Amino acid sequence: MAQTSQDQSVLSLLTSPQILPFFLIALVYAVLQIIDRTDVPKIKNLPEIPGVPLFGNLLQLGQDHAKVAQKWSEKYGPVFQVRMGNRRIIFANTFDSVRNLWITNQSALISRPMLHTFHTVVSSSEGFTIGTSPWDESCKARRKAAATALNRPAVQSYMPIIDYEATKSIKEMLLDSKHGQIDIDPNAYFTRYALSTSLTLNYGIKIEGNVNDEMLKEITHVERMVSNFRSTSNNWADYIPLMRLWPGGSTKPQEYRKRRGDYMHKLLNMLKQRIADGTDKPCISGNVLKDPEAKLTDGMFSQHRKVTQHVLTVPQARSCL
Amino acid sequence: MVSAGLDTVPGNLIMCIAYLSSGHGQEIQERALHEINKVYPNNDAWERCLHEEKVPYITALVKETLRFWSVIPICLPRTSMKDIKWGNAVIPAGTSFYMNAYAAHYDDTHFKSPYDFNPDRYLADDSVDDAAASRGTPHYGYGAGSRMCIGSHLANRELYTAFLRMIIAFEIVGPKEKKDEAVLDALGCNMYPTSLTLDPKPFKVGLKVRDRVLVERWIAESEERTKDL
Repeated sequence: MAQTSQDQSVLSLLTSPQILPFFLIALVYAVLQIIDRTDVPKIKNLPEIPGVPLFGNLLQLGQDHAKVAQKWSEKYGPVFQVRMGNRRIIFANTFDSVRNLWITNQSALISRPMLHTFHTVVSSSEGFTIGTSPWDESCKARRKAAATALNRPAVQSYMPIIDYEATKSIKEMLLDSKHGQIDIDPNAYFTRYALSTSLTLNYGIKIEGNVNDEMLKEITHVERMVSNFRSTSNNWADYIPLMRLWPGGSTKPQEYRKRRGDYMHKLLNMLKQRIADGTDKPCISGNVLKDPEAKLTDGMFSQHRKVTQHVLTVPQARSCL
Repeated sequence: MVSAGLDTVPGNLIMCIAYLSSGHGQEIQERALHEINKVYPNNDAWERCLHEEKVPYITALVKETLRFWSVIPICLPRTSMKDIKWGNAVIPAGTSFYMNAYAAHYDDTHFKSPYDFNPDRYLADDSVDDAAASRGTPHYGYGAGSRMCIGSHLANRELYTAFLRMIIAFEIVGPKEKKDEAVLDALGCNMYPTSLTLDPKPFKVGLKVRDRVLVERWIAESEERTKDL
């Protein structure tokens, strides 16, 4: 009882006309201090681009971050710090400064930040441990496995796939252009070339149809949208935590997460069916499915397209790139 | 791995084809064809390119394409795990780093006339392996350092094969209608400025078949080779 009356008296004091303005100013100041903090405090002896509270330099960076930062480097030097919302970012803008930071300092610069949209909303799906892309032992192992599947000798053994896909695309362009009489947009033919090569390597499944194939269109569209959720200039919620409260803000990322899960499962089920029927082609996922305990060996497709085994699940590998 | 290289490889391929269809692109095609015929006088480049990468001009064309369009203009971000010194500053562990690959690729203290598309700039560097190039990393099209693109060998082979085959099969020319012409500027050609990777604006090209009999023979031979795939 005494407590309550004391609370009330504090409250009435704070709301009294003499005190209220000061209280509000202090409150606003405290709130600003909290929402205006950056993950890393300002770094001394490194040029900083002047910005505004809360947004930092986000508004100035606009849509063309690369071009705006290039312009800034003329005035502020090759390396500077910016604020994107509550994150402090170091931008490197010249060939030599990138070489120094990314190559000379490569052991220090080996991890990746967790970004809200990509790591929390898009990737937390379907039991895949995607999104653990900060550097750790598991990421190291997965990157090593992927590197083995994609090293020079391994890639040489994939050339029949490239032979097939390049021929298919050029033949279709030849026919669709009526042997050069009609102008064509080369985009779809080369998108299929890249996707079908990748699916054949991963699942032993080709895009059998032409450039209007439904699965081709769906995967191409969804993967592009998902990659944009990883873009450093497309997702303000990555930088301004308050924006994550926006209703419906994660609807799109979640929709694409589901659509991505759908075809990943479909591809995997197709592969499982083929393994059961004995009609599967050697591929990276098939290898893991058949022998999940397999140790990482030299991971090479031989000329006879025989596969040796390595521990690698496809969605996992991707998160480490 | 399904999506790695899915939008980047086509982005590079398509923009190089767009460039080849331009006025200056005609000169590049002529030169490239000459260089290919010098190495392969017996019309077998279509098949030989699967086993070897022996036309330095095409390798240089791949590198120049990767530089010129910087398909990921701001590379995937990094975080430091140890303090890094830059001049008098100590950047603490746990700080995010963004590589402006676009600006690095157009850095005129490193590249002579960076706004010109010029494969010759890479001819002096005859190494094929971008990760171990004798003269250092030729471009940041695959990023750089410890988390550099792991699929660069595959991507290089996909690009080399496609360029070489397109050039020997077709004379790539501009479209009949002006509205179908490609935008060639590295950032201007992108449909969505805030996308992670370059998504080229639609355009068209004309494809004049150089030698129909020969092209149909190459296609038939490839189909025969890969019929069990």
